[in-house]
Amino acid sequence: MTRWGMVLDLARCIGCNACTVACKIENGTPPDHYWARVYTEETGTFPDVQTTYVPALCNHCADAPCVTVCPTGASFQREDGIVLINQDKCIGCRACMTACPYAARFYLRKGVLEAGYHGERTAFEDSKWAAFTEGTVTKCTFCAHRVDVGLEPACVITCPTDARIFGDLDDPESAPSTLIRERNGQQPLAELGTNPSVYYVEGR
Amino acid sequence: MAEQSIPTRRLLIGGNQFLIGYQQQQEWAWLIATAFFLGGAGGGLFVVSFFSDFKLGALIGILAVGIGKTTAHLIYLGKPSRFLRAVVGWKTSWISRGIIGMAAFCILGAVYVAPYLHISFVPNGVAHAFGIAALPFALLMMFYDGFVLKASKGIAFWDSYLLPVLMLCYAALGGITVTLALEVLSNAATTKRLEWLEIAFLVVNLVLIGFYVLSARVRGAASELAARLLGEGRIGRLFLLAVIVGFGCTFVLAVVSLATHSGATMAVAGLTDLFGHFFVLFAILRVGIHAPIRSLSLHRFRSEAVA
Repeated sequence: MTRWGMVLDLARCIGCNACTVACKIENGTPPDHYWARVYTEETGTFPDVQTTYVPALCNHCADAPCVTVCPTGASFQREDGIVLINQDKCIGCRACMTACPYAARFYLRKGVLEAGYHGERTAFEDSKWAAFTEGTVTKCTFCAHRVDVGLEPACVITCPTDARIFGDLDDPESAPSTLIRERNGQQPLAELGTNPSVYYVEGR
Repeated sequence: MAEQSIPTRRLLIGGNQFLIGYQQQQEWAWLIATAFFLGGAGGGLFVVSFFSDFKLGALIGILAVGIGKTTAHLIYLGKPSRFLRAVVGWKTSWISRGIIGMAAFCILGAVYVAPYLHISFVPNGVAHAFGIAALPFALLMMFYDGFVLKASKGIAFWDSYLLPVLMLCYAALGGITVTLALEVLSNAATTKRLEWLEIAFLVVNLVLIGFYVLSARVRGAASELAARLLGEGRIGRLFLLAVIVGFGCTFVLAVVSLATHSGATMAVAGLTDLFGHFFVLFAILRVGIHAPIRSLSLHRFRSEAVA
């Protein structure tokens, strides 16, 4: 059985946000919907300070709380672990948004799709936004449409430093499994028991 | 933990950066608080009225749920026309269970109060049996919102079994107070036992809310931060006002009413209790805080690696 997952290498991420842009282009997400993003984390006290760039996306949790709380079955999990939203079933109750510990879901407010990013909608926006419904919730799909035809997610192939490594977590020899094993990969907020399919590794 | 402001947006972009940190939930506010409040108070009112054989109270309880709560939910939903789909996920979702319960409560409850409205399509005995059948669903209305909040794993402050208990007790208190107030307003005889019960529930609720807030510390830093927010700023002032009016004023008014047999005082106590009930609920919703996506364990891991 395949379980798609991703390792995010904090030692490699340079915070260029190429993944953010790649996701925007690939999925044509509406304004303020950042399925892939890079947080800037500053730690320490002057003069001993450190900046870490933390890429983030939906963690496609094995025990996804967003799927559990969804009253309509709009949020569902495929056999390969990818968590998706059926926009035709979503009623916009946003229970999944409060349930998700990772701020990975976005509500598409009414009227947002009426105008484009810069006023009148472009042909690109017309084409991409046809997949979205106002009054519903959106999230990262792990680029399921690409994965299904043997391609990697857009954020992965775009990353200039190979900080995003995608593969099958159930295959012990896959690149992400190897990285998790060798560099003590950590799941975000693992203590919540959601069993994310996204791991972080840092410091060599 | 360093002092830090909490972003007021779900995803904060500061300048040209995404900023990591605690994030206050923004999605559930007035409308959801209104729906939870009407559901709890309506369910409580029905239960108390049923046992007091006070049909007007039962009717108002059904209307609060069937019209008030339903309308608040429908206005809130992004796609209200798909409302009926929400019953599909009953195996795992408390929202689904609540909606099924709402429908069952309203239908069964409506048959129960039908004779009171001179709609006699069923004999009184059968109507009473429908009332008994509506009771479990009325109880569900009283506490299921607590489970809806508890299921939000991302918000540690809500992740407590105390919350459904608190909701249940608040709903019972609301039901008792409104029943007493309605009895006064409709010139029905008030029940002494209910007046004592109200005072008892006021004390129980005060202890519960205190314990719930104080126990926030054991549920992690985000939960502790949420509890701290209940003591400061705009929400803190609102929470304090809700506690003072909801518990303090209601308690004093209830005791005065008990001592003087003043119906008007009891009616005012009903209002102060409902005010407190609503705003305590609202404050608990508004201080729902998501922890930073990086866990403490990850921070420790890095600290150890650096050391």
